[in-house]
Amino acid sequence: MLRPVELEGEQVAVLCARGQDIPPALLAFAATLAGIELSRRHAVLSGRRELLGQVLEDVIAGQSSEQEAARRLGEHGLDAGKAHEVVVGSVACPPRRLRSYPWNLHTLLSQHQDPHLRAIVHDRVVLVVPEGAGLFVAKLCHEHLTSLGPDARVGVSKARVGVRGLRLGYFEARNALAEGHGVHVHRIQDLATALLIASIEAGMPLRDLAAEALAPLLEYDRKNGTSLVTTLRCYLAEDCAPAATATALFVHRNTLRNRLRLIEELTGRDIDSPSSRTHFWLATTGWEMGSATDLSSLLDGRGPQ
Amino acid sequence: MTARARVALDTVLFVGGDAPASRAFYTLAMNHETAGEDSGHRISFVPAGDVPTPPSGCWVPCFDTDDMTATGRRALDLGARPAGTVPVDGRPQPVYSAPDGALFGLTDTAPRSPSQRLGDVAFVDLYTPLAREAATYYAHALSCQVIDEPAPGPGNYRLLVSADRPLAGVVDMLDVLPSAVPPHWIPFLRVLDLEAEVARLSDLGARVRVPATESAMGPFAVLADPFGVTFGIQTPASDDLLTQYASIWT
Repeated sequence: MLRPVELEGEQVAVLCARGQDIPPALLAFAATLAGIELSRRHAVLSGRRELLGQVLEDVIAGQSSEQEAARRLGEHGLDAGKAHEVVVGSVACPPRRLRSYPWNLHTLLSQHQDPHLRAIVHDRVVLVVPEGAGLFVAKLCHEHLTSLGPDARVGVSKARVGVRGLRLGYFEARNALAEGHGVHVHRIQDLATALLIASIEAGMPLRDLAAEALAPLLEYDRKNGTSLVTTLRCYLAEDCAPAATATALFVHRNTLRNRLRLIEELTGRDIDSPSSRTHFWLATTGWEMGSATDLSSLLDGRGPQ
Repeated sequence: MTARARVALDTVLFVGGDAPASRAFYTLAMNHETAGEDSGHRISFVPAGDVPTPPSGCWVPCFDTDDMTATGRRALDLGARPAGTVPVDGRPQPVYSAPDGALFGLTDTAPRSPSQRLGDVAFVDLYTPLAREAATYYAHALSCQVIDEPAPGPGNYRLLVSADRPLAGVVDMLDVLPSAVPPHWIPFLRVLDLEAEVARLSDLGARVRVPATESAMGPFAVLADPFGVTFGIQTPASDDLLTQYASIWT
């Protein structure tokens, strides 16, 4: 004999009874009791998620120091020193439904905290998962969201370390989510858009964001004593004119051509496309600015002249 | 039966399916990199080659023997069929199809020292509708002993034992699964906190087939990975119990 066990209007389990002559009313009562106990545990877990949601909102908005944010995340079981991926999901349903949805019955049964950090931030479900787990978690999250309403979409960030990485990861995942219905993973080509959102919404210093965008070039310059970032900045300042850039840098045009080709290889971008030029202009300009400069000061013309 | 030789569980192969995706999942599931150099039963993900496997892949345990040639000949004489070869560490690994249709392999690598490392494969169970015949077959083919019902339990369970050490379990599949399901092996990964691991693996997309359950062989749970292939988890308590049963009854 079977009887469904419900939690928040969802059938989450089935109560089975083996044998003859089991009064249906007794089984129904047992299923109700099981549902009540699950509801109690679910309420406790939802409370934890609310707290975590506040922590994540602060982290995303940059309202606490790196150290303080790492400590608060640590209280929820997250080691900010390890690489994590951020998964962000949205669906057209009432926010309350998103908060009350029973995401993982087994967490309730074990009475542990969520296996991965899960919270509702700005009416989106946000998960912070170990490196490599993002896509698996995202697919499952999408399945759940699809059951809640139309237009379920989930974005996954690249793996990043530290509190700052977590912030950027959130915006990468959000930007990937904007791709549309389904599961989308952040692409390195989309970094500029993610950086812009992060700078506008969270006031992240442009230099930090530029460091992310220019990471392959900065790393190459550091290891090889080259000046790819300077070359790129000069090339953009000279309106992408090779002759003028070569003159300004005191290098042969072939040298310049080789450097530009290397920049394209390292960043995976076509340097002559309009979107890449915007991306590189933002990144190199942000890199030259002071650490506290944000996007508004760049747009106000308070950046380097 | 021939003289008893040392037989032990070695590598467990994940054959076929989407190997990179499965490897990614089990790397997360096992919480450490697979195919490490240290001791313990490891998982190798290999393409199916000419071995017939379900689309989502299947588990193939490889048993380490002193004399692979003789054991292989005996396995075939007793009714197994060559199922093909799969590449393992750059070498072709022969795979056999037992009389009931379940796949297994033989190796003659250096024996691994016993380990109870978390995340490793702790044990393997064969689920087959021909449990008695299968247990008898492996007992003869691998020169090991069969213990019928090593401990009282609701199902029909047989333990294969070699040199006082547990080798594999044989479960009467019809106790828990419909007869249409083909015979298959299930590896059990060793975890510390069974219920927390069930929740964690569920978050990664695994589906729970048997929730955390107490048994005479220790607590266990059975899950299906995101691609539908079944695996189990158990705690170090099962290592101790299995060793205990193996030594008591032999």
